[in-house]
Amino acid sequence: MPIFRPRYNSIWLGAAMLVGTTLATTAQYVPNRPTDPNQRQVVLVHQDTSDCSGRDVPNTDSPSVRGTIWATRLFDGNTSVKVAMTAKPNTVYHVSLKCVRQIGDIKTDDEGIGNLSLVFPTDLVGAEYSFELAPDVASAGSRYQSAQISFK
Amino acid sequence: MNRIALSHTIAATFLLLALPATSAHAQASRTWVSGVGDDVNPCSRTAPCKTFAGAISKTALNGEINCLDPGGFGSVTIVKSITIDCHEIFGSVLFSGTNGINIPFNSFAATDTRKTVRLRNLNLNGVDTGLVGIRISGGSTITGGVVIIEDTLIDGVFAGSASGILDDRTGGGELYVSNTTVRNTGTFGIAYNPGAAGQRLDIALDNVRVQNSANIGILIGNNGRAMINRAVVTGNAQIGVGASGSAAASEINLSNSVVSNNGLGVGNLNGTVTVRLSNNDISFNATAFSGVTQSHVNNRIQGNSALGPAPTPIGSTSNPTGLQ
Repeated sequence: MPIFRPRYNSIWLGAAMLVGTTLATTAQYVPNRPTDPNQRQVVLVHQDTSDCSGRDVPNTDSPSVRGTIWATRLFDGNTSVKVAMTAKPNTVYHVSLKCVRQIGDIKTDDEGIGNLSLVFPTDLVGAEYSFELAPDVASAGSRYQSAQISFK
Repeated sequence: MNRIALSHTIAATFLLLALPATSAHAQASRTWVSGVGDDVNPCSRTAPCKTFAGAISKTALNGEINCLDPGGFGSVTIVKSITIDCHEIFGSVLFSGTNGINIPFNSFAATDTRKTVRLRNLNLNGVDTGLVGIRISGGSTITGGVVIIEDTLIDGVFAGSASGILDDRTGGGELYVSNTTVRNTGTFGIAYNPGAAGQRLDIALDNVRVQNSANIGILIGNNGRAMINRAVVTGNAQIGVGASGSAAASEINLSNSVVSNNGLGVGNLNGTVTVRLSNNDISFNATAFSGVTQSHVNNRIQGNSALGPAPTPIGSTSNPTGLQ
């Protein structure tokens, strides 16, 4: 019988954490903002690796966030992407659909600011995908991964 | 061979012991940044750094970073008590798609007894895509931190949680903002919006201008106690000044201020909230008030499209205005 006790404890602990998380979420004032159902906005995080769909990149604000990506599905079969980042100054980063192909370049200015807008065919990716940004010589600590963009 | 290995081990041990002491001594109480500096420099006055991020690691606890000449000094994450002051020098931070200045109190050392960050004379521009100008977070392990923001401009912040100053720490402490303008933000201008009740945060906003936020100009959330004096809160699309107390009581004393041309002027948004109004001009809003508010009966409330629920006079029959 004592063997099962830790299991119950972990269930209760999990339930308590869930309730705690729910309370924490609801306690914050959530602003009423209009949202575009065809647009997703995710963060770009300073980390070297992630899985192809970006599931392991948290889409939350933190000091590791170095940019934001907006993806908007257009009615003409394309997806419009806007990238805004603050990174190493005067550096060209190759923008790739993770595990698919490179779709453009973004160059930061002498204060590290980089902005890019581009369009790619929506059928190039599935309903869930992510982006990776890397310089020409991608040494450790030089890559950026986006959180997952999901249109599911 | 064993003797050589032993001598190497002893040498390595001494080196390891010496390293922390060396780096601690290398930090200066005052460091400098310059538009033509370089982060490989020691950040001295004769060899300044290029960015705040480069200077902060070379600045001692409770030390100060100053600006030698005008420049853009980049976004920075602050994890110790420090002052950044560009007094009389144009000190700018551009931040695209990210935060301008992060202050994560949970990353402060437990030995940092002051837990105080002072930001003065800074110009933060999110170039339309910034997330948060000054982001204050954490507080679950390091409590009671103090943030002082003076003579600062925050503008052009429209991505994600897009706010000028966003504080969501739950460990309580103090937030003081004076002589500061926050404008053109996608969500909040100045907000204390913790995700849980947490500990009490004392807030004083003096001589602040909060303009053109897409949502709320000034928001005070759970367990916040805000004294707002000489504020001009105008052109905020949804709400000028709002208080939310869904998990713990929040209070606002709003005095000597202008709340105009907002969707809603002053809002008691939800939960346990106290809003006291004294000597304010509340005009030209679509609706002046929502929820219960209290008044010292000396406000000028006129020109609003709708009044909403009128404020309740503070005091008793013998002291009808509550003024003392």
